[in-house]
This record gives sequence, C-alpha cells and structure tokens, in this order.
Amino acid sequence: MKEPFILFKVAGTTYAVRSAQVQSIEMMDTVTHVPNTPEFVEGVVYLRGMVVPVISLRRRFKFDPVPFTPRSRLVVIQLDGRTIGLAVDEAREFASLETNEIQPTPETLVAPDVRYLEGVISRNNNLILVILLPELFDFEEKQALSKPSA
Amino acid sequence: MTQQFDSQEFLQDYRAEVADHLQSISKHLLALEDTLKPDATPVMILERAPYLEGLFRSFHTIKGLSGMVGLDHAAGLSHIVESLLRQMLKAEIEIDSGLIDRLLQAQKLLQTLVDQLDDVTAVSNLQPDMSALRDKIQMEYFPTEQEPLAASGSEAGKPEAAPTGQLPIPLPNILADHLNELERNKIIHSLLEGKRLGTAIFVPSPEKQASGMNVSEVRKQLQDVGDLIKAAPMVSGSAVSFIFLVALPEGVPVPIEDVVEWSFPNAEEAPAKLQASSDPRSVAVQQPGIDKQPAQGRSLRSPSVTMVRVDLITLEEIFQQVSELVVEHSRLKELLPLLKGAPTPALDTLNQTTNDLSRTLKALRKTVMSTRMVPLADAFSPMPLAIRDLARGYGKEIQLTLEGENTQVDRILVERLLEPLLHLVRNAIAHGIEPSDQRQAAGKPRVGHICISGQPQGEWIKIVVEDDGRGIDMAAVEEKARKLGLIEKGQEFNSSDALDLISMPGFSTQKDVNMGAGRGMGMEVVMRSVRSMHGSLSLQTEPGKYTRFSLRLPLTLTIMNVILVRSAGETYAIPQTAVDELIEIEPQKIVTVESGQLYPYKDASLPLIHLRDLFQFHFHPPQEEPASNRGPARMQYALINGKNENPLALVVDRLLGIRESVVRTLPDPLVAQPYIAGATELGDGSLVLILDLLALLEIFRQRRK
Repeated sequence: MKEPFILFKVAGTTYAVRSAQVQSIEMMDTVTHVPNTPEFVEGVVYLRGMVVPVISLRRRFKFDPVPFTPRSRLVVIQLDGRTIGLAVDEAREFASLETNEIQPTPETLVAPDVRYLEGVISRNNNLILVILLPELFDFEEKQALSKPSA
Repeated sequence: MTQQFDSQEFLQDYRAEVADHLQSISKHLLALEDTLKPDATPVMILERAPYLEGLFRSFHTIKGLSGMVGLDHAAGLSHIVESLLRQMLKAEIEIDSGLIDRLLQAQKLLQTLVDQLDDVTAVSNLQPDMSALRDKIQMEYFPTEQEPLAASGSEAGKPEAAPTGQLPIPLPNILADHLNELERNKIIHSLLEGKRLGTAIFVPSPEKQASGMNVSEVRKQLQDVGDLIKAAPMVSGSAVSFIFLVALPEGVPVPIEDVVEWSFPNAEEAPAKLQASSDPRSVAVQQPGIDKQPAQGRSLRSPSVTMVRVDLITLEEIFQQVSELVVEHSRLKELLPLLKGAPTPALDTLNQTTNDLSRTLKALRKTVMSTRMVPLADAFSPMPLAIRDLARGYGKEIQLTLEGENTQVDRILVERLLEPLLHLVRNAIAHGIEPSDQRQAAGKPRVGHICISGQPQGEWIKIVVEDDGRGIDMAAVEEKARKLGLIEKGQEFNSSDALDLISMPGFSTQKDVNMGAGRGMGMEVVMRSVRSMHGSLSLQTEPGKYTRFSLRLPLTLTIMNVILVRSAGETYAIPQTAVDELIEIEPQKIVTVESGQLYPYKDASLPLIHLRDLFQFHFHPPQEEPASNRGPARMQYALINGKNENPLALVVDRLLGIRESVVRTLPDPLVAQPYIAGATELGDGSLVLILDLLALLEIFRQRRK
C-alpha cells in the first residue's frame, strides 16, 4: 500500500513521517528558549495564535546542535491532540512510499532509545529511516508528555 | 514542489488577502442572488451594479495575486469569472441562478484552495477542478470564442467600448446628459479599476473666496487626488454653482470636504448594510432607503469616510504608547511632592494640570481599549453563505436567524470563534435538521431553522447554536460508548457524559461519512477551541425537537500590562501588578552575606534575587553581557514585590518598557512550568515568556531550604 510521507533531513540522514500526522511545514522563526525543560526542547514559537513547543531532532537523535540556516524547517505534527514542532535541517520533499517495502530496523540498531524507528526503506539507492512518531519520545519523555497539563 | 516551501511567506500574504476578497465575494453574491427572487423590486434590480463591480474587483485582484504566486489554475479561473462579470456589468449576459451558481462554485474552489494552501498535495489535487470549472464556463458563456478574454493582464485595465446610452451608475442629469464618448469611457474605466466615483458641488461664497477657495482652486485640488472626468456649471436663479465628477482611487480620503458637498452614486454602503441584516430572507425585502440605520438623517457621505481601516500593528503601537503615557504620568505624579516649598500658586496650577492629565489619560485608555472590540457580527457574517452551501449539499431547506450581532467582543475572540461556529453549524445541518418530507411527516415546518445568538452576560458572552432538528439520540450515544468500552459495565450512563463522548476524536454515531460533517472530528475541534479561549461548552437536546450548544466565553481574552526586562540575554515579561516599584541598584550599597545579598530599601533591607541565577538553559549558557557593560559601574534594576509577607527584589540586567499584552497559555506539558504564566507575542511574531513572580520567588525559597 502506498502512503504519502514527508521527507526531511537531520545531520545528513533522510527521515520520513506520514504526512497525515503533519499539520504544516514552516520556516524557522525566532524560537524563544524556555528554561528548565528537557534537553531536547528547543523552546516555543508562535504559530497562528498558538504557542507551539519546538523539539530539536538533532538533540533528540544525539547529534551536535547547529545554528538554524535558511533551509531549516519546522515540521509541525499532531500527536495525541497536541501540536508540536520538530526542528529539522531541511524538509523539502513529499514522497509516496510503499509501506510493504519498509524493512525492519537492523538488529544492531535496535536499542531502547531508537524504538522510534519503524524501519528502513530504500528509494533511488538512498536509505530513508521511517519514524514512528508516538515512539519518538522514549519512556521518560513520554512521561514528561503525559503528566497532567497545568 | 520545493518552490512551494520557499514561497511560504508570500503564500501567507496571499492567503490573507484572497481570504478577504472571498469573504466580500460571498456577501456580494448572496446580495445579488436576492435580486433574482420573484419578489425583488425593480429598485433592487437597479442596485445590482455595485455588487457586480465589487465582484469584478475581487476576482480581478485574486487573478493578479494568484498569478504572482504561481497558482496559475486559480488565476485562470478568476480570469474567466472576471470576463463573465464584465459581460454582466455591460448587461450582455442575462443574470440568472445558473450563472450565480457558477460564480459560487468558483468562490468555493478558491476558498478550498486558500484553506489548504499549506498542503501541497491538496493544492495540486484542486487544479483539475479549477480547470474543469473554467472550461465549463467557457463552454457555457463563450462558446464561439477561442479565448474569450483574449488576454489576461494587459487587457483587463483597458476600457471597453462604452455601452452607449446607459451608464452603470446613476448620475445627476446635468452631468449624464452632457457626457461625451470619452467621458463615458473614463467612467467605466474608473469603475473597473475600483475607483470611487463622486460628484462634488461647489457653491462659491465670499467666505470661501476669502480663504482662497475659488472654482479654479477647487478644480486643482480635485485633480491633485483623483481624475476629474467632467465639470459643469449649474445655474439656479441668480446663483451659480459648479458640479464636478471625480474618480477617486481606492483608499484616498475624500478631499476638501469642508468646501464642497460630496455624493457617491455607486457608494459601497449598500452591500455593507445588507450584510448587517440578520436573516438572509429579510435581505430581499429590505430596501436601502428603509434601513434600520439612521442613514437618511445623515448627509450623503459614504461610510468609508467615517470608517478607517487600521492595521493591527498600528493599533498595537497605539496601545503601547498609551501604556507608556500612563507610566510617564505616574512618574510625574511621584515627582510632584518633591517640589515642596515651591511658590504655592505655581504648585497649585501644576497639581491641577496633572489631575486633568489623569482624567484625560483615563478616558484615552478607555477609548483605545474599545478599538480592540468588534461586533459579534464579524464572526457571524460567513454563516449565511456556509449554511446556504451546506443546505444545498445535503438537500435540506434551512432558515437562519442571527441574534445579538451588535455585542462587542474582543477581536481575537471573533477570529477564534469562526472555526467552532462552522463546525456546529455543519453538525446541525448534517445531523440535526431532517429532510423536509420527514419534518412534514413529524408535523414540523418543512423548513428547518437554525438560530445563532450571542448574549452578553457580565464579563462573559454566551453564544448559542440551536437547531430544531431531530436532537441527539442519547440511546445511540450510549450504545456506541458501551460498544467502544468507554462506559464500564454496570456503570450508569449519564446524559451529561454525552457531550464529553461526542467530543471525543472519532466518536460518531453516524454510519456514513459525508461531506461536511460526520467524521466525528467536528466536536473535538469545537471543544478544543472553546477550551483554548478559556470558555466552556454545554449541550441541551430533546429527541425530535432540538439540539442546543451553548458556548460561554470571556468577552476579552486575558490582556495585561507587563514589564519587559532582559536578563542573561533573554527577554521576559513580568505582570505589572506583581511589581510595586522599580529601583536602580547601586552596586556599592549591596551587602553580601553568606547566604546571599541584601539591599537597603526604605527602612528595611531586601534580599536580592538575580533572575539569571534562577534559570538553567541547556541550549546556550547564559550570555554574559559585553565586558564593557560589566564591572561595578554597570547599572542593574530591581523589581520590588512587597505585597507578600517576605518582600523581595528581583534583579534584572535591563528594563525594556511596559506594554499591554495578550496572554497566551503554554498548555503543552513539554514546556509548561509553574512559574511561567504564559507567553505574549511581540510585534515581530516572536514570543516572550511571562513570569509569575510569586511562583518564581517560591522556587527561590525552596532552593534555600
């Protein structure tokens, strides 16, 4: 079955998320830092009347943070009724991917903190890592997400 | 496709502007449609011209904008509609309901386009629809011509050959009877360009002469701002006056109003008035002359002279400047007592003046605040068109009543109210109102009725959306909920749970998914937006009789004055009410003790808390101010909070000013913190965190322990 995905890059690697889960893709604007938050939280931005938290996927994937460039994008996702922005290095492509062709993540990569990988798919000789959004936040992070909101 | 992302910014502007035009298109189309009804009076048929001109202008603008952002299909569609409207303006096509349907279809497609502009796939999916509609119009109305409009762009501005004899606007005979071909062309040209045509009558008088206003001066001043199409002398008895026909570009204020008497035969107030009327049906019988508004009593001035559009940024600046005035005024009041010993008469005058200033400032603040408020009608105005479309889509007959449109509410509320209202109306039409035959069989009037009303209740407004349809089947809701395991076995079903249940994502008792509603997402959206406005939602329903949703919302969203400060390279906002006094810290007065710092204040000493020490940022270490700013000479400021039992002074690096701000909550637990009261956006779209001073000091105290 083919499904539409949005492709984006973080630290040179291409990732894919289902476009049904993506609300919009925005230019990176000024992010306001919020003190005393989990390490992967970049801050908040103002989007159409809403304050949206921004997560740095570089940080989340344990890469060194780099300053935003004009290619940086905010992939705004809907997750369990929440709106969250994922800061990525670039997001320029839509792709229709055959979900049957998604290969399981290689054993050697399976670790507790990469459960967010649904699998790997090859497209034009390039590997794309397919992300399982709900798993993007590991156990503690999920807890942080599900603690009662103020 | 990548192009789409890069032009994101343009697209936002495009979206805003086109959305405005689409709204005015829908208003004009509905008004135009009313002139087709069998009971339309001849006067109303004559009134079509301004609607057609408005439509022409809007589609013309959309065409241009769409071309600019590369949405060629939208440009093509607008282009053919524009040609159609030109034919209608020239009365070369009979206006009938089929024609209006085509225009509505175009409006709808463009609206869908604007709504889904962020979604590249949706946009490209719309393209075939737009082309199909364009071809259809071409087939139906321009079958013989290859390219009806021969051409885009350059041709649009060109004047058409003037229809001889008839003018699209009524003019006084003295002008109309003496127009030559060129002048007629100019008139039509001006209308097509969206200019306002006005006549100015100048009656010479010795006073006007004395101030230099003679005929040639008037002529000159008119020519300076607009196109002078025709001038003619008028003689009555022994007096001579002059009449000028002028085309004013859009947005240009009416010149020399104090010298000449203006009237605007094609003024745009007609559609605006119609819009204000509550019932789309009553629009048809309402004639401009017998409008409820005291229009006849006033001069012939167009309302555009008394209404000014101001952009929000300017308004925000005004708010801010008024707030600053308030602060400066309070400083002045503080300084006055220092003048003790000054000569009494001078001091009395100064005191008196300061008091007068207080009063004026208070009034000014109130007036400025009121500019934030807009009538609820702004939120209701898209409803007639939406309901008309949905009613057609579901094959239902529906009458709409709007009440309480004049209630003044915060403009932000109006903005956010639109979406939940549309969802509720959709639900009412899709699920509430029964088909006419069913209604008749049940002994109800064939035509279903939806009422949207707003009633102010103190600081709140209650907005009710009610339909007289089949009501919500509680048994079905219960059955579905039990099936989904949402109600535990043995647990009783409480009808007040119903609202929560139907507001759950994906919960729908409908078997079929249909166009407007029924995917079970609508109520969730309503619930979410009502909560985001700090309001509440309630439901009353009686099977077979009615469904009533009530939204209770604050009249104004939380607006507060905040002090903007800077600490360790970050900007924060602190509610002004939490701060009793601002002082400058003199470093040599700081007393450092083992557990912290003390600072003399009045007769006591205050513990100093440095904002920069309270926060930890993982992203970047707190930025040190440039070295030149440091050292003992550098000034710091403290915000004193003495209201609680243990007064404290919060030290910041810099004070940036005071501004009135709309508080936005930080609902997401990822960023929610007890000492962050919310965030407010600055004019440039960036956010500033609003700190809850008391919660902050609490943290400090706990850390001490």
